[in-house]
Amino acid sequence: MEQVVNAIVLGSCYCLFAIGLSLTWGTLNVLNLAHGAVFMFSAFTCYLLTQHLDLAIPLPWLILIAMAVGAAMELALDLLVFRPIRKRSKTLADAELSMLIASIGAAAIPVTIAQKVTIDSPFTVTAKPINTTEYHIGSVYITNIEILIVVFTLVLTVGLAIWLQRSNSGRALRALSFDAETGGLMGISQGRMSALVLVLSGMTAGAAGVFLAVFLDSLTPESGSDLLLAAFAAVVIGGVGSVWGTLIGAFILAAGETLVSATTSGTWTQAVSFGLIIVVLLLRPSGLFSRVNVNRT
Amino acid sequence: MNAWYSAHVVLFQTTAIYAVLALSFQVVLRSGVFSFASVGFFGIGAYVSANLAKHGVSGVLSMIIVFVGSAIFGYALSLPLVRLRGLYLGMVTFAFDQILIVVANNGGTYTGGPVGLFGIPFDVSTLELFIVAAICLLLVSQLERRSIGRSISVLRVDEQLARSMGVEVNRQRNFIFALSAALGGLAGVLNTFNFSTIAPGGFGFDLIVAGLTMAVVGGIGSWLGAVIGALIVVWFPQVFTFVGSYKAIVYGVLVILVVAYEPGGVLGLLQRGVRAIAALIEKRSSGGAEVPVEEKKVVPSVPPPATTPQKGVTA
Amino acid sequence: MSVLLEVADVNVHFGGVRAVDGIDFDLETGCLYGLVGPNGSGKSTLLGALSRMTNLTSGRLVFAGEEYQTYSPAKTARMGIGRTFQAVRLIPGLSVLENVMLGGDARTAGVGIFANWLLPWRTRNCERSCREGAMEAIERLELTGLEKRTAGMLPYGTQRRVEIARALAAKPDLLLFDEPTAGMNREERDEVGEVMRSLRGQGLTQVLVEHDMQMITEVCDYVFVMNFGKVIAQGDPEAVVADPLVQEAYLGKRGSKNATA
Ligand SMILES: Nc1ncnc2c1ncn2[C@@H]1O[C@H](COP(=O)(O)OP(=O)(O)O)[C@@H](O)[C@H]1O
Ligand SMILES: [Mg+2]
Repeated sequence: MEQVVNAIVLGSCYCLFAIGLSLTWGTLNVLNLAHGAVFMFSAFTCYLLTQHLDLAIPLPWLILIAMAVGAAMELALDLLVFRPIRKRSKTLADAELSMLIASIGAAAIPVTIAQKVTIDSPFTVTAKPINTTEYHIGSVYITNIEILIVVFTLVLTVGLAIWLQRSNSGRALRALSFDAETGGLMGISQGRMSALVLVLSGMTAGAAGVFLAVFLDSLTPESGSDLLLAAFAAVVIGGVGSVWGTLIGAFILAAGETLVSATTSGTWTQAVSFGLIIVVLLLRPSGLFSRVNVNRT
Repeated sequence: MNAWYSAHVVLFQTTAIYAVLALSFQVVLRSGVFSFASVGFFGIGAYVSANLAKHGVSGVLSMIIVFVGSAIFGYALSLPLVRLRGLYLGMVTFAFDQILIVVANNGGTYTGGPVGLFGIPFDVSTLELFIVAAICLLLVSQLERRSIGRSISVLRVDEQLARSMGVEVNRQRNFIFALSAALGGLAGVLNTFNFSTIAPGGFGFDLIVAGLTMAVVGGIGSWLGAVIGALIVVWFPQVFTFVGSYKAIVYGVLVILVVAYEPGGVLGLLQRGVRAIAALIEKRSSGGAEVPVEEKKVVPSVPPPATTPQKGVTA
Repeated sequence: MSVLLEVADVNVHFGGVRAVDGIDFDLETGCLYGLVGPNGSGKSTLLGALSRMTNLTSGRLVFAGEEYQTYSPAKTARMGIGRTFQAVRLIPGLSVLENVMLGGDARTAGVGIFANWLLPWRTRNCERSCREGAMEAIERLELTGLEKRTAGMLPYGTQRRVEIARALAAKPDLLLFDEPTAGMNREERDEVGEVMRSLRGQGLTQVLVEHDMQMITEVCDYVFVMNFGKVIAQGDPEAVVADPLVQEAYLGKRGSKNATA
């Protein structure tokens, strides 16, 4: 039972992290490899504040701070890196490639700073005052923080999905993802939309950073890239650009990983997620859970 | 000079090996095939040649076996992948690389598990290394000339146009993929015989990053770009010792600057420089006569619709 | 005169949209055909079907006695059916000469990707004849002097002429033009019309999609009018333009479906 709780909490963190990746890929054709670094650095900022400056910050404030840091970082990434590339690239393929490489370069910056400060060791984020409460439900122990993580993720995911479906900007975003040209005709500024997507993506990455740091007790400067690899699988399984799909994909992945590492020595765990990527992309490139297969010619 | 050379001989060797790997990336990227499989084949080549060496197979024979074998395997692999485009192909080939790492970790005596294999006989001299790299450069450079060269450059920009120009797009993509696989495998063999060791960490995410960076920062337009890229990636840490442990940051910023502001890579930058100088000299010699500028920038032609069927946001 | 292209009951449907709906005609060698119709009537889709870029829902295509509806677009191009596109599609980074030479490659692209390794002397000869063909096409379109210019930097009308030169360089037996003069001024149009007439004089078969009725009547031998995926009228240009059905289609009375069916 303990494993189930773990898988659910882990899945929530994966989902928070993967949503940004999925949205930027689905709407902007950006495979943002700096997403992991943003995630790590948001948590790292909280670490600096709570550990180095020794400030007593309650958890909700830490989450907000991390979200703000994440948003600022990805906004900067959009303005300074992706936008000039989009403007200069002659074809979509060129833009995709350049943005991917540039995001790798961008990721090097926060990771190196964190490595320097922590001297390549794990860091922890501790909220103060610490008021962890454990609840016993039958044989299951669950902390209030774990509940917070799950509830926060579900509320955010559902909210985002509804927003994409109902609101004007959400619809505009979907139009953009189908056809940048028609999107332009509909009076949607691609620049504003891409800024919006990256801010959203940074906020979720920041929240995921604090949550995982608290849930796993510590992160390392390299945690971001490990998580990135896992998130690829969640995104692909669920269908690129699909919010619900990402949620389901993240839980499938978390459940699978928990199961495999509980039952085997764990050296084959990663093969499962990457095997899934290959199988899904070859057999059903739109993801397992998308209802429509958008056929573009 | 000689002392300096012997002190840096490892860097020269690495440059040659990385140049072959960079070519493997450049060949696919230039054709608009977004594949990271080169690194997977690098791993395959490295382990296969290590095992062949255990059975007394010579270095040269190993290279031939791996080159041909990788080409065949790569061709077979490209058949189901040929309908995937852009980031989707990137993701599949990335997963391919990662799975090979897991396999290497679990490969028993064939791979030595997480520790890898070591003590493999050094079976390639520095001279041979350079000869092999030069042959690869020659092979690839021939694909950038004449009709073939043009058809490959169209492939990246406008696939449908390539079709209307008689190019069998899918067949071309399959061949390119196979060639890239062969070059990747060959780089792996050279690596094994030059450093006498291979471990799963030797062809991980870092090598993908290095390979992509070499090809793109150097300039994917030409084999020359791959050479420039290999030089930059290998010699950068040497040259930039003064920035100390912050060199990763300098590196990141440089990569962003090149990619964002010079789509042709460093090669493109150099070519523009040469052209500018040539124009300047011409102007001097013609007595500074103004060259009439009649062209104006026009609306860029609409890029053809992508054939990726699976993009979109759904709530 | 002999029949070069036979189009037999060709259909192209996109879901419920019948973009090309039972087209049936023969094209004779050496004639210049006009293809007109309101936007969305299926002209581009029909050209796509003839050049095999668009898959047929049903129907038969025969070119010079060869049934080719199952061929790949590339093989169709190598067989001698050339085309231009409605939007400008040059490789902006290459020079005008290289862009035009791309057309010449259409006939030799089947040599194989590794020909430069195995048969360098052969590709050198191909290259020479390709360059000669390209220079000829460049001269014909009055682009001489611009060979070395970067294609993407040229004015729009000039880019369109480069496209036509590229199609010519392939030395096709049938050439399909999809609105080649869109965005050109009167003078440039007349020039292009002139080129087409002279190509016709050399026996090249051409199909011209065009909205400019003046140009159609001036250069074409025979005109097809399409609406809703069907040919609603055909014949001598002057007679067709005077046809009330055609006038109606162009005036946009699309509600009168009965009249067009
Ligand atoms: N790939 C496609 N998918 C769906 N519908 C299409 C596609 N291409 C064209 N159509 C439809 O087919 C019809 C004919 O289009 P088209 O051949 O471009 O017309 P024209 O060239 O005469 O303006 C239009 O209604 C258009 O919307
Ligand atoms: Mg049209």
